[in-house]
Amino acid sequence: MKKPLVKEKDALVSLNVNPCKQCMPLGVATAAYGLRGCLTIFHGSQGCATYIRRHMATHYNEPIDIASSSLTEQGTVYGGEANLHKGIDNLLKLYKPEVICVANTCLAETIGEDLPAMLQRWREKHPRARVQLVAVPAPGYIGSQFQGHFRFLTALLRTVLPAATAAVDRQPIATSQDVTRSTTSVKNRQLNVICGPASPADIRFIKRLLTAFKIKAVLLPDYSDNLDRPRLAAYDRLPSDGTTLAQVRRMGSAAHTLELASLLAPGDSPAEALQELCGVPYTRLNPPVGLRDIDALLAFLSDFSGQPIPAELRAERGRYLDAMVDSHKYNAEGRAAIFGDPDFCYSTARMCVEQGIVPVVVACGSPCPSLKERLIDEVEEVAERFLVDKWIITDAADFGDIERLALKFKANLLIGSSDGRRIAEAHNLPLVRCTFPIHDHIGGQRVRTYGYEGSLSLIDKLTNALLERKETSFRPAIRAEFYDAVQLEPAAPSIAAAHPAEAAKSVQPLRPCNLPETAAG
Amino acid sequence: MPGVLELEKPLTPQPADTAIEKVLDSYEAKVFKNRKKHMVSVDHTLDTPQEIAANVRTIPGMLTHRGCCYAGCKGVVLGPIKDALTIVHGPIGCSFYTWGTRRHKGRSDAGELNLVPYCFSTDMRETDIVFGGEKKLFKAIEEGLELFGDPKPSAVFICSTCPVGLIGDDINAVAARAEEAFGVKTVAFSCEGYKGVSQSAGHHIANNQLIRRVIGEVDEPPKTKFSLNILGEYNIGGDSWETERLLKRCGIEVVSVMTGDGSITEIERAHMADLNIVQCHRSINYIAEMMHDQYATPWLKVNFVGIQATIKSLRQIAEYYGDAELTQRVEEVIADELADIQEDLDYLKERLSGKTAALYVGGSRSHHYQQLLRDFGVGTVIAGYEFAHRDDYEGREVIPDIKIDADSKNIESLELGPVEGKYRLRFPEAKLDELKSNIDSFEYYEGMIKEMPNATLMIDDLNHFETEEFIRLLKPDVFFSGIKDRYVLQKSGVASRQLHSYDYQGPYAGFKGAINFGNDLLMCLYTPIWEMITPPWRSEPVLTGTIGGE
Repeated sequence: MKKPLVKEKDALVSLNVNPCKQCMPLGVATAAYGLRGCLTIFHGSQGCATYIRRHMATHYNEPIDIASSSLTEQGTVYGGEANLHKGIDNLLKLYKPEVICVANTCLAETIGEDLPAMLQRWREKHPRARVQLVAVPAPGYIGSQFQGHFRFLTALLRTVLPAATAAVDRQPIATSQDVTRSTTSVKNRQLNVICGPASPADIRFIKRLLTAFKIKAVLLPDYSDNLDRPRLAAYDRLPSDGTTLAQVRRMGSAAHTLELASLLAPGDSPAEALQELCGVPYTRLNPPVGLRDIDALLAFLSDFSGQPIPAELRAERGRYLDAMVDSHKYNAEGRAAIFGDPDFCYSTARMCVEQGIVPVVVACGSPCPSLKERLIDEVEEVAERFLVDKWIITDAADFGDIERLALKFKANLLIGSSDGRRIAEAHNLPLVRCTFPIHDHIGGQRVRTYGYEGSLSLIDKLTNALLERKETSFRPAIRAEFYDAVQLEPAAPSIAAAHPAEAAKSVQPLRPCNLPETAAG
Repeated sequence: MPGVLELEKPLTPQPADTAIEKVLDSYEAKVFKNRKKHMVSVDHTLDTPQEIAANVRTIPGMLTHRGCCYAGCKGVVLGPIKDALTIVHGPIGCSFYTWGTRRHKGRSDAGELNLVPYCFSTDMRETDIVFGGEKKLFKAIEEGLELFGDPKPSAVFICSTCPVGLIGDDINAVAARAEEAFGVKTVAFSCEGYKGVSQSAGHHIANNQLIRRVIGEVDEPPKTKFSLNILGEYNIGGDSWETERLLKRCGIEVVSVMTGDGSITEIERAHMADLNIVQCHRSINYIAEMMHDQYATPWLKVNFVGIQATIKSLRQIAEYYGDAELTQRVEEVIADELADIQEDLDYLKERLSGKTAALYVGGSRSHHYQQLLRDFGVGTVIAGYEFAHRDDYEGREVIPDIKIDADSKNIESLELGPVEGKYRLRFPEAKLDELKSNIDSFEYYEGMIKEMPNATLMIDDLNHFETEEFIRLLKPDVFFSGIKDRYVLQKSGVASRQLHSYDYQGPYAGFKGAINFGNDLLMCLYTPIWEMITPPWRSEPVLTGTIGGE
């Protein structure tokens, strides 16, 4: 067995070819949609707000309102405080938000705009204003949209919760096994649940789960309705659902925090912030995708609530297992290239491993070295099972890398966002769109991956993508290999006769993959 | 008024000036005063032409639909050029957001480079912001050129985003070094997002550099007698291809298109053509003007959106060349194309006539599409531009009166004289004067207002709030705008179509395109969903009296 390829020498160091990530303000604005009555204003150029509104609108199929302080050259030179103050005034007048998320984008961060001080001075000018302002520095040159999501949540908690409100009688706990015992003494048996950048439908699933276990909980962020609204007779200018500010204030006195995230950068964890500010202990679980991680979440909730796992969920688990049995023989041929944000890559790869789909390329766009550390063992294990000797887990990848690696490691299935469509078209590979951004298909807001039903709907899509190809390519491939090869005259060998494998390849459209086959590892 | 729709009854339930008053009422005094200047209730009976405020700063916090300078430069003008390696120098977001988001289509023959599906960035990180990104940019150019060895890109374009201008990276110096080192023309575009007040500044910056570094470089003459360049046509949904098809049928050679499905190799010889036709006046009139000054190329404002508009444009082009055979050919093509669509046109007219529309698009479409809608008997009740200047609303005659503010002064305006050996009068001066007086679009754009009916609304930099209010008050059947405002409208029961990228449809240009558009509008208006979700205000009577303390 050759050593699995886990390290790749990057072909390009300075040029990003087709990015597999977006910028921090996008994550900030998305998470802020999970707060009731909250509007976001970007302090910087107005293009930031326009671009991000446009991208969110096409994914969620909802109107997206993000304001801008519209800094011009003058504001850039003399500081943009006046613009920002005017922007906040106008937002208040026209929209009457309860919360305003104020995020510095590249421009304001680069010129060193002191957001807290500017907001403080706005407060001094408006001592009677009741709006809650949340300052989030979100320069596009740090992190990515993934980090932006958690940065907003952390900033919100740090702003809203005065330090040391941990007046309740509570003992710190570390593991889920201890939860029931150590929280019995706490009067307020509320659970905080922190979600990562999940789809609105997945967040709605978490809400349903909490109800099923009869848990009194605060879910943050909850954009399940704001970014996937039922049609209303009159358009509501403000996000009228979501976590309320009052609920956020109560998070400090909860019994426990459950954080559904895997690969947070140090300092970005809202659960850690809650513990530091108010002494709320926390448990971090992987997002509930795939059998193991869904089981772990249900076990935790059952422990915490003292309720048995509801029969309905047990039946869903049974159906999920049944579906895995039904599709195992097709899925075992799957060689997936998975791309997206760190948690999406991690969860989806784990789910694939359980299915017997070998994730030959796992590539997240943001820098995230821990992705590889966390995944390597299980990918290695499944790869060995199916005699796949080369695969890769990598971070800070662009679609130039992903294309090269997917071809090199013979992926037959792409799992990620719409942005993989150029690779899919160029090399005739099936693409399953199941993470942000989905802008060439409809229904980004309804994508399900969480829970048994969510994961089941995803594996059905994966299996069907493989089956569709198999159905249409099986006979020509077999014919080329076993029939045409024998029939041909030896004097005029075609590619098909000499190299059946090459012939199969040449069936693919010959649009050149313009990226060089540089040595990788 | 030439071309104005003859009205039997008013298009709107109430005159636009009443609606304007109601909307402005929500604003505090300062904003009221500011926004008032951007709204005009069209009235052709006045003695003096009406004036609108445009191309001035956006009010912060108002949820404008405007974009930034970078969007105009990289996203609009440079994006469609398929053989240029366009590298965005800056953090990743801006680069990502212009990747494939405008549907400017590009295709290449085998062996030609088509970089339209790509997006290149230096992905600046914190260390680059602190220590400068010039070295990384240089290396990125090297890597990009290595990546596409053969055929290699015809040029490298560098577009900078906000932080670059602030940390002082000298992209012009890097471009010069790279050009020397790698032997490929390298052009820097300092289009930081904060420059100007909208995308418009970016158009100008892109225009300036294309004139300086690309146009006029290769003196390869056109192959045929009648040659022209199409300016301001970005091939959204294939519009440019349809326009080119028509021109070719007439026997007119298209030397270059700026910049839809465009290439450097074509644009380099644009000065050899005998005419520039300008589709989008706002984004490219600078090049038309500068080519006039440098190469004596005359220009015509055309419009290939709309059947009557296309006919007029084709006839004016023929009139410019003044060739009997060409004129004959143009008439034959018009007759043939019309015959081809007549049956569809009649049906669509019957179904669409009497509907009303609102248009809020970029800097030209809101005018062009009024003409197309009129072909189907659809009247426009609201028309506005995101980033146009006063001349796009009121006509080029107001240009001398436009006050240049600080934001516009910061965008370089080139004063160029004739280029020696390349300045070539296409006709004797007397003949040019004659053309000018005979062809109303000869080096002139009339603007939008002259064609708008009385009591309709012309508005600049419409924001989210005003959109909702005006829809409620003026009740158009369909709103044509962009992706950002689309959802508010359609979810509240107003049909909406996207005119920036055509909702995956198109082309809408020319005769066949008009029918595509009509069909799309028909499907949009007559789909069963609207019967299930009639918005409350649609059936509300309009209150004309006063209530309570009003």
